[in-house]
Amino acid sequence: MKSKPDKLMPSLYGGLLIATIWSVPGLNFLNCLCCAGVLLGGFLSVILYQKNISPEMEQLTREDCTSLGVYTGIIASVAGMIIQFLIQMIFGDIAIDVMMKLAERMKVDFPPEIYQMIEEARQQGPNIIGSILAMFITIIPNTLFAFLGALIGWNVFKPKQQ
Amino acid sequence: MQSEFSVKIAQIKIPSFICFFTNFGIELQRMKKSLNILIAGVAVWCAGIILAPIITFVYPTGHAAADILYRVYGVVCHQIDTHSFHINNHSFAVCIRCTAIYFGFLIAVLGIRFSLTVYNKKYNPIVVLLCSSVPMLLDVVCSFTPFYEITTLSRSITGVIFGIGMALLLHRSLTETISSLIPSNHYEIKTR
Repeated sequence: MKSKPDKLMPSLYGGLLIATIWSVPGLNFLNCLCCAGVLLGGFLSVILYQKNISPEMEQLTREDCTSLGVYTGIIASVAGMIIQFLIQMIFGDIAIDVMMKLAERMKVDFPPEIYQMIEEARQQGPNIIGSILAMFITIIPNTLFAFLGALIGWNVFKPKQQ
Repeated sequence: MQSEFSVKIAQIKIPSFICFFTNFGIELQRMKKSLNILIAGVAVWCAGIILAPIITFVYPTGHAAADILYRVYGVVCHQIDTHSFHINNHSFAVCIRCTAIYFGFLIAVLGIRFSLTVYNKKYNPIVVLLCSSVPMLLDVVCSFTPFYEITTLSRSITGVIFGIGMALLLHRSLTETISSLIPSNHYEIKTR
C-alpha cells in the first residue's frame, strides 16, 4: 500500500486562504461569522488532501484531519502576519479606511476609545514587533478554528465504513 | 466498528456492573469521560463570555481579569457594543450571534451527553451543515438589502441553530479526538 500524500501543500493553501481572508479589508468581515474564514481554510485543506489520496493509498483518517487543521492554523498565523505587514507597507492605512467606511455604511457606532486607538495606530505606522505579537495572539484561535473546520471536512469526506 | 458497539450499548442497555468489567464498559466510560471534558471546555468558554461584564460591573474602575477576557474574546469576535448583549450596560465578551452559537453548542453537547441515542445517531453531514449555516448566512446576506433588517432575535435564533448544528456534526469527532489524548491504561486501572 502506498504511503499517504504530503500534508504540507494542502495546509499551505488552507493557511494562505485564511491569511488572505484575515488581511483583505472587507473580506475579513467573513470572520465576524464565528471565524467562518478560518473554518473555511481548515475545510479547504481537507478537501485538497482528500483529492490527493488515490485508491491504492490508505484512506483518510480523523488523525490526518486533526493534524491538517493544526498545521493550517499555524501557517495561517505566520502568512497572515507577513501579508498584513506587506499590505500596510505598500498601501498604508487602506485597511483601516475600508473598515471604517464599511462600518459607517452598516451604521455601526464605535465608542470614542476605538477612534482614539485607530488614530494612534495611524500615527505609529507599520510595526514589526506589533505584527509578531499579533501573530502569537492569533495562533491559538486560528489553530482551534482551523482544527474545527478540518473536523467538519472529516465528517463530510470520511470513508463510508468509518 | 466502535460506533456499532456503542449502538448496541444504547439499545440493549447492558447493566452497569457488567459494563464495568468488559470492553463495552471501557468504551462507554471513555466516551462519557471525553464528552464530559468537551462539556467542561465549552462551559468554561461560555462562562468567560458572561464573566467579563460581571467583573466589570463589580469593579467599575476596571479589573485586569475583565481586561484579559475582553482581549482574549476580541481575537475571535468584533465585539461591537451595539451588537452585543449587556449586563447593567456592560457588554458581553462576544457579540449576540457568537454568544448564541457558543451557548447553542453547549446546550446541544449537554443534550448529547444525556442521550446516547442522539450520540449514536448518524446524521448526513452535508444536510446538517447546510441546515445550520444557511439560515445564518441568509440573515447576514439579506441584511445588505433594503428589505430586511437584522434583529437581536434573528441573530440569536440563527446563531443557536448554527451552534446546535455544529455540535451534532462535530461531537463524535471531538470526543474521539479527546479520547485519543487520554492514555488507555487510565481506564484499565479504573475497571480492575
